[in-house]
Amino acid sequence: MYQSLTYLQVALAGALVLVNGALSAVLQLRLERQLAIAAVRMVVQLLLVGLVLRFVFAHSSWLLVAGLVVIMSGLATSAAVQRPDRVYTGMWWDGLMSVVIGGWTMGLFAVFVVLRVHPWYQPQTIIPLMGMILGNTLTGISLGINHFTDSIVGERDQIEAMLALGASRAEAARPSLSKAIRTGVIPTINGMMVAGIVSLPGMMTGQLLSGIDPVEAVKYQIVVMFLISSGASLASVAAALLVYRRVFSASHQLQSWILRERGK
Amino acid sequence: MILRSQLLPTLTAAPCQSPRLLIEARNLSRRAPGQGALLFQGISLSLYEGDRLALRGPSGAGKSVILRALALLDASDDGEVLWQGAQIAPAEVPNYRQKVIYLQQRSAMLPGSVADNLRLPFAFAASSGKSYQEAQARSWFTRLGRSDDFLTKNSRDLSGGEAQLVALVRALQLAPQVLLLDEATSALDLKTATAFHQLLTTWVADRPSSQGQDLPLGRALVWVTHDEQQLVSLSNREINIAGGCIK
Repeated sequence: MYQSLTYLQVALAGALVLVNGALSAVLQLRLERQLAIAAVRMVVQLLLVGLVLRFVFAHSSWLLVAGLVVIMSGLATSAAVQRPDRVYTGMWWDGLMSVVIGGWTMGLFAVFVVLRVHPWYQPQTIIPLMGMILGNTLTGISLGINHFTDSIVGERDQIEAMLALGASRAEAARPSLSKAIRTGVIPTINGMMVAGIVSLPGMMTGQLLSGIDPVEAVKYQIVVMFLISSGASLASVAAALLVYRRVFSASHQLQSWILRERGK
Repeated sequence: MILRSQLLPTLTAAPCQSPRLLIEARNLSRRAPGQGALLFQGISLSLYEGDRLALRGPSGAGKSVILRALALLDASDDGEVLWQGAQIAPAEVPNYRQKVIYLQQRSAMLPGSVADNLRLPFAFAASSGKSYQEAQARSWFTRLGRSDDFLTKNSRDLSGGEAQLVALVRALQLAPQVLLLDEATSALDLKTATAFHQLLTTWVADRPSSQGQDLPLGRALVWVTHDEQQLVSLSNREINIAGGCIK
């Protein structure tokens, strides 16, 4: 049932980019150059990923799989910390820690508790699974950091008033933390709400295309949805708490000056 | 008098009729975070019960940042703040801040009514054993010229001056020993400001009731203002600040 694609078939689909280009030219959107770069980047990136994955799958070594997961985690961290409007020294490390707490915990849970794959480092399972988990984790992290730092800066006077009246740092930060964590978690709840209605999730689509029984594909997708929603939530909470420990000193002082506008 | 010439080394060494030491700042210095500009340097002062200490000086002299340092709201780069001669451990800071309350110039209100704002600090762990007393709050607001329904007013609808009154009552109800007032009447009309001063003068003179202590610890306040008349009427000590240093 699975149908292998020839490069000619891929090229035929690629020709569709010309439709986009023509639209841009006719409507004078001036997007032709960006479109061309994006299309070439996408093809090159995916081909490279395909080659790397083929190599990793063929060798099936735990060192290779672990190395790839570490690289993916680093890239997810960089993507997550590039989104918030404010930056601070040590943000990348907080991002990485949140990726580890949210993403790796879910990855380990999936491999050792839910799926119990043999060997545990089976790359065909771990790599795509971690890709999906980390992709959602980074959204949770960036939302958590962005909303918490926004709230700290926007409500600085109220927070300081609470501290001045004897609130501990945890008591003064609680409203901001709650808001930030809610915002970080809501996309995953929304994602679960519409799963299968608005569109079929990517992994399930892939499995259906490769000929797997739809109910089996759905079961996998349910597992993945729980993993990514829990991973994103955990990472969002971890990110907000790590920022909290930076902006509030152990002596219950607000150090909002550590937060800088991006680019300043 | 600028500074007391000698600090009392311990409380027990002081005769009971002498004013007892509340806050002692030793050689405090602070630079602006990141920029490195000097905010204040070598600040040493002692605050005793009964003191109504005014910090005088031109705008930008460092008065407000010194008040914040005394409230431990900002970390000093150098020096230390002692409470009754003892160091304050990080975990003790919230308790210290209920004894030594800083009132900022632009009093921040939280969403809700005036009563909600008054109840807020009683939710903090440091307020354990204290409870909101509405009758007491009404009595203070009456003295400040506000009617009974003021408690139900939404904090969004408060003027700057009214917010300063709420901030004062919100602090007083926690029974602090020291108030650090940063231009705390800047938005008040003359009549209300006078009532505010009278309330504070009475408050400092009143000695809180004690349980098991022969002579309860008295109160004090530190006052930052540019109003000369306020300085004369409210303070019994002055310190001049210029360029972040005591002159």
